[in-house]
Amino acid sequence: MRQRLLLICLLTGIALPVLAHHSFSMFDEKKETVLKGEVKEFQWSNPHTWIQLNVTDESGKVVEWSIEGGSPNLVGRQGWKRNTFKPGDKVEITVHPMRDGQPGGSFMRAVLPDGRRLGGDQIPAAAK
Amino acid sequence: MTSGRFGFVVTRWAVLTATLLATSPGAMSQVPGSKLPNGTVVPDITGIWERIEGIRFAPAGQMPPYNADYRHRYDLAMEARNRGERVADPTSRCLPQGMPRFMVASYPLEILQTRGQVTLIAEWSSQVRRVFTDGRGHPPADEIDITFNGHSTGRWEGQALVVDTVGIRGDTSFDASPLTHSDQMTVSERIFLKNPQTLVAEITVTDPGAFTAPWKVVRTYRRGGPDARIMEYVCEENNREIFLPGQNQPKP
Repeated sequence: MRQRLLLICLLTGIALPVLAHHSFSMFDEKKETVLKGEVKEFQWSNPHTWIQLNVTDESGKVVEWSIEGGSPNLVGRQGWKRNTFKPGDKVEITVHPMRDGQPGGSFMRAVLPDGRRLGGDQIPAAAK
Repeated sequence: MTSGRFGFVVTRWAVLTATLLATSPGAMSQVPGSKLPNGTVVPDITGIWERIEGIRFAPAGQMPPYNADYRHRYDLAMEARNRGERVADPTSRCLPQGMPRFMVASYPLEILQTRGQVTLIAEWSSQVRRVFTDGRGHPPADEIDITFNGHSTGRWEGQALVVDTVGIRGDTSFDASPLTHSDQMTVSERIFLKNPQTLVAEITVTDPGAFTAPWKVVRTYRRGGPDARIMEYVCEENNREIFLPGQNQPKP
């Protein structure tokens, strides 16, 4: 579905409102959303890391969230590793959600399966 | 006899080469610790340097001395940003930072001193600046390639590496803010050690097209520790940013 949407957008020239990696204006920095879910994928990549998190909503539907994190060059120097999040990990992640309501956000902090906490100021503008 | 004659030729060639090496600034050794004809001992700026200040080009967020036209452009861009419009930063499309943003050192810089050249490597997007210290000049203005980092020549003046950079594209950025400049911008730098662990770059940006006076910005870097290393950074690896054509251009 997502791919079809992307294809339609590409064909019609409509910009898919994806997450920006440098302007964070699409995230609502006044809001915090706490997501409890299961890691589908951790993309240890530039220009930013991404955590794909499957979150089950109240109706039982699984929604995949895209959570933008700092570059490996940034968070790697703060102790993150490429296996900090593993597929299947049950984690709690707090994000600044997207303003338009799409299931995406910028990473603020997380509680890992072993109770370790990853703290919060990694992302803001310093991630460039 | 033949070998003797050959030896003589080799010796003469070696002497001639040594003479050329000693007299041509291009071949002069400029590695740290070598002594220049003017008595300067080349400082050791080789190594990894980490940004101390923030990621605004002017550490305290100072504005350049814009002329009315460029001040107006900036104000319009800021208004658009404040309305929530996306004022695109070229690096969001993974274009290089170029000069002078290169010197912000978003991620660390590595400096290498070799014969006739000082090389600066920026970890952000694996950018490279080559500062020619071999005495060459810039190509003629009407022939020079217009590039992200421009054409840099340098010389050691006392303890400072003095760098002059021309041929910079008109659309490089200062930082992620909507600050812009014209295609007349040139950059001169004095790069020197404040102490063995601290490097200073005094960066003077001159732009008759956009500024009413040269804009001097001072940036400071600390020497990376024993574990400091330059990491790979390939921006195109997983960039989810999508722009419409022309959206990366500064609004006129």
